[in-house]
Amino acid sequence: MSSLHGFTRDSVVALSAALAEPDWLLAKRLEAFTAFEQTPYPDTRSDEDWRRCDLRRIDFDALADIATPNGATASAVTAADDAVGTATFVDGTLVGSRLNAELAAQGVVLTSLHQALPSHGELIRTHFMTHCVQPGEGKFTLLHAAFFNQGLFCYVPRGVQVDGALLAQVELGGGSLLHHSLIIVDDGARLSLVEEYRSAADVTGLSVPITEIIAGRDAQVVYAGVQEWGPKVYEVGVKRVLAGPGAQVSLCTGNLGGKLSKEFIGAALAGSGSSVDLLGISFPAAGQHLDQTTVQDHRVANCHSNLRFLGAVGDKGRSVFRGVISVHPEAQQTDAYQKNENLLLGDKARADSMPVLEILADDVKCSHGASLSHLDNEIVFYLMSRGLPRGEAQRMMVAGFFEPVIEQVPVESVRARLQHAVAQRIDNLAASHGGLL
Amino acid sequence: MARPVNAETDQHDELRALRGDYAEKYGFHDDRVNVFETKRGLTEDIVREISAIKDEPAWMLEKRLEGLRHFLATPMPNWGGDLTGINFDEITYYVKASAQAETAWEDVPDDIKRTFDRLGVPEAERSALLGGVGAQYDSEVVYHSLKAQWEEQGVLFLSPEEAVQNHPDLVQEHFGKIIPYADNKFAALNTAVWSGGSFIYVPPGVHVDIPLQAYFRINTANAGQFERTLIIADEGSFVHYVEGCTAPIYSKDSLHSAVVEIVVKRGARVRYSTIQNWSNNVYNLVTKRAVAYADATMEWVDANLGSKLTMKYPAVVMLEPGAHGEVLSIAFAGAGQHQDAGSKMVHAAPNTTSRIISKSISKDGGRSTYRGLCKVYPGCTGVKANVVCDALLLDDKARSDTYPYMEVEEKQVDIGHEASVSRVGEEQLFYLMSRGLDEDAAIGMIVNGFIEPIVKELPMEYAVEMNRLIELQMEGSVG
Amino acid sequence: MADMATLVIDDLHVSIGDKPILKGLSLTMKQGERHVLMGANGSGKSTLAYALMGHPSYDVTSGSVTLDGEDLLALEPNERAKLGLFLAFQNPKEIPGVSVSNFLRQAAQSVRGEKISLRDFSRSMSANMKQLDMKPEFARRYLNDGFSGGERKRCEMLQLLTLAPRIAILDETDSGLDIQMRQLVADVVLAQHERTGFLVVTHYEDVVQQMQPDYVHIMTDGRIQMTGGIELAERLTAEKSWDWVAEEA
Repeated sequence: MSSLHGFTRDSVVALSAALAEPDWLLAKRLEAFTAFEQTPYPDTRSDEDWRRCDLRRIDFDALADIATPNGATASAVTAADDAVGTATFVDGTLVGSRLNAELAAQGVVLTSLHQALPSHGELIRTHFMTHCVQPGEGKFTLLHAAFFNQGLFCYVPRGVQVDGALLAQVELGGGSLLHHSLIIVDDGARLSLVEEYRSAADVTGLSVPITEIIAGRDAQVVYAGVQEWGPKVYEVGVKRVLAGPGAQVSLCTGNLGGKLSKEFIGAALAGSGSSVDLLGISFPAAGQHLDQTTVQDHRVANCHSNLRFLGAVGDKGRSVFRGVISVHPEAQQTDAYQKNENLLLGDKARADSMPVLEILADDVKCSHGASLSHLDNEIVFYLMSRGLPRGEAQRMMVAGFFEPVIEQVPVESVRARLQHAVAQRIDNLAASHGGLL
Repeated sequence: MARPVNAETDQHDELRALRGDYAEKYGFHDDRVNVFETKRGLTEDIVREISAIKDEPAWMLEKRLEGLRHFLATPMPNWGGDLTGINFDEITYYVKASAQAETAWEDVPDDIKRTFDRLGVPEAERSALLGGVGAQYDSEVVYHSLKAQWEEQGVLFLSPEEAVQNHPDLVQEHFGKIIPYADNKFAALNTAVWSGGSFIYVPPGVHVDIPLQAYFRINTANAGQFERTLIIADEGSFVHYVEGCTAPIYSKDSLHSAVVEIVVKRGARVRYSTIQNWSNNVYNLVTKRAVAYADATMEWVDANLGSKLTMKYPAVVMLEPGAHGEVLSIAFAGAGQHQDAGSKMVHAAPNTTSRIISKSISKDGGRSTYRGLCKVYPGCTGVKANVVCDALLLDDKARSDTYPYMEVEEKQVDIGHEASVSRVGEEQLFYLMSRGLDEDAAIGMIVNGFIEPIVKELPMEYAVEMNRLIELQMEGSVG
Repeated sequence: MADMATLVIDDLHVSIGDKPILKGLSLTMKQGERHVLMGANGSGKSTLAYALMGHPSYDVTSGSVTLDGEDLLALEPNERAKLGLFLAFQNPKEIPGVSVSNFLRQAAQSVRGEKISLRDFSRSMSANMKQLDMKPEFARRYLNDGFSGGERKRCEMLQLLTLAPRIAILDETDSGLDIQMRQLVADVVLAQHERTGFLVVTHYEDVVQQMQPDYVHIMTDGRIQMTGGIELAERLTAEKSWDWVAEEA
């Protein structure tokens, strides 16, 4: 893999040149870089968003090898045959893609940002890090805006219905990967898309991804992002949907891998009548720190949002959930719900849950709930009374705990992989406890 | 509060006749000449002066000076409410209105007596429902009385100054142990300049079955009140302590920063009820914490109606198995008010349980915040904790925030948190109005129903007072 | 039948925490028999049911329970199920995320100790569901999640039909059910009675009449005080009180 070393101005210029970018994009990178240099890393003691996340564990300098296009090909990533289109990225380069010809004929695009620039330059310029996620939000959005790799571009034109799901696979071979996904679903269009992030077990790396989903008027979007980094990958990422009037969006995240992962997951309800479901599962095991901050940002009236995040925590795992429902003064008739459920399974497991409500309008219905519990022995008994051995009963309960979210993932093969990943974690945990949880 | 009389609320004349308005009933100010007050601003000399006036032993002065050093070295908290309006150099840290604490009501100076008469003290004592009464005026306790039957059983209900002089061992054993001076900036400040408050000791097995009462009042403009309360409930005992607080309305802000430490020993139960009705130019920054030993129960009943800004999170640290902590709280935030209140439950032993029920009401641009922590340490199996927060918004300028923190390091636990925010339901309102209630009365009824689960936990005449205060807050809430 | 299973409960004492509930209960029942157990609230009927199934909160302080000579009390609940014991719960728990069919297939495989093909399982499950007048989509729902009272009891009966136990305890399975549903429970008992011995805990005389039991036991204060036929249930209905049991026992 060829790469540029260091988060420097020279790297910005070289990366932009290697990707043959237009001037406006280089200018955007440089502007972000200047601000990046002037912005300190978040203070993990005083900044509430970062208070429970120890960034000192990340050696940013050592990981600052930024991949450039090098003609790599897809490795072990298996193309799902139940998807109507796939795009595969290895170390920040699109190495292969296919799309159902009928969809392509209707103007659907599934490719890399850079390959789409000649044909969809204006669209990208309008939406890329302008109003969904903005570079200036923080140190890591600036880092991303300065050093983003060749990311995903997916566009569904006005009124086009994509039956079946598209799949994007992102693989990291080492160093820093700043994968960007720009997903635009135009007015009245419909899309299901799954993104998978993976790396081999021995890979050391840093991932700073941003996914922007722009849902137009009455658009319908189902998005699932599944993160299964190897155990030596650090991640700070953002996934956000900007929902237009009447849009219906479901954003589902599976946060399973990585040594330390901090994800900001958000819904901006910017169009009246929009509705967003945020769903998430996480399962930190030995030595993993999985930290998720969610925002349901109700900016206008008559919107609905519903969040459900499920987390199980294994031995020495650490899970942090901080979720905010924010209702702006104009956002009357807001209906917002938030639920964080945690299942504590391992010894020395730690789960922090902070469901936050910030309500500045009065005519609202908002509620949230959080729970931290262990496997209910009454249910274990019930299942055992039907003949299941204790370990099997426990496994069935943990799998069942995640099922309500997993079943929302739109691609059968990805659902199966998620179920498998959960089952594997349960088995690993049980194995270290003599077969029982 | 102290809103101008509103011509549109004639229907409340009867109500007003019952209780008057805040400005009349609580907002008055006595033009008395104080016996003594320290210079404004806080220096080591002032701390030494306070200690000298109280004729304190050296160990207490040393604690004060430690507190002062920490206070000066600690920055203002950068979370919670807006504290920029506090100017520590403008505050008078010690004001003495009466030469000594009296035990007979007749001996209290007339002007102070008049004040407390208007507040209903010692009416409360006369009603015979209360076991003892302490009243504090600015910095010093002016009146203390305990029914003889409790005295005979060895119950102590004193000012902390008396306790320092007469029971130094008990004070030294517990003072600053539950809330060390370094806990936070305001606990440090209190440690440096504390004056007045209550000291209660209940011997093993003694049940004080009628409440002990304290009333606090700030009378001097720009004064700080820094009372210090220490309650020790020995094994198997029970005590219910009730405090009420008021202050007149001055153009300049006042600061109230109390520290309350409670020890609940094996099998004992303490209930601590507060009706906080400071005028809305008081910063109310209070640290309250109890430690509960095996099978002990600590209950905080906390109503925050007044003040400009309240930051108060009564805590229970459950140190041994079977301990139980409970917080029932009501907050009412009207115009210009921010109630930032909540609770901390620290589960430091297995099989401990806790419950928090919080109800908040915001109107007229008032802001209410629930901020809570539920912490479970490793190895504390069998912990059960439950939090329910409900917020009611009465108009479109109000604001409500909920910040619950749950930190759990043990798997054999059950922790639940639920919260909801809603406005007064139109269906409910319509139903009540269709039965002939006007809108004010209907909203009042809904609000009363909303807080009923907590009000019913208060002693009877406090519950009545509480409902009156809520009605006062609610006045003219429509239109 | 030659291999009739026999459940023998001998002088069973059971406590919850420090509180003794069962105080020397003895009962013998065989596969193919129908026993009805009646008794006042708090007499220990549910305690017996849970203790037989091995609920961890119920401490057996003395006595023995054997099924065909095998010591049940030494076994985990799933091992008791494997031996052919079944308990229909009064208030079965909700288990969101676990579908009825997935759960039942796994349970059936555990009890029988063999793999069951999805096809075979689906076929027998559809037949059982039809017998219970259940709609096919019921199989895909999460176990007891959002079930009505009637659906829960139907689901317990479906489990009974699927697992085909040798001894089944029905812990007030009829409570809260309308007449039609009570009849359905009775029908299951009658249909299964040759391969299963039933211990039916109930308060209803009409249920007793429908089931035509071989024995009726009356329980008070942790013991079986009286055993007879259907006339005992009739007498209970007539007396409207438990007092005579203590007097005559």
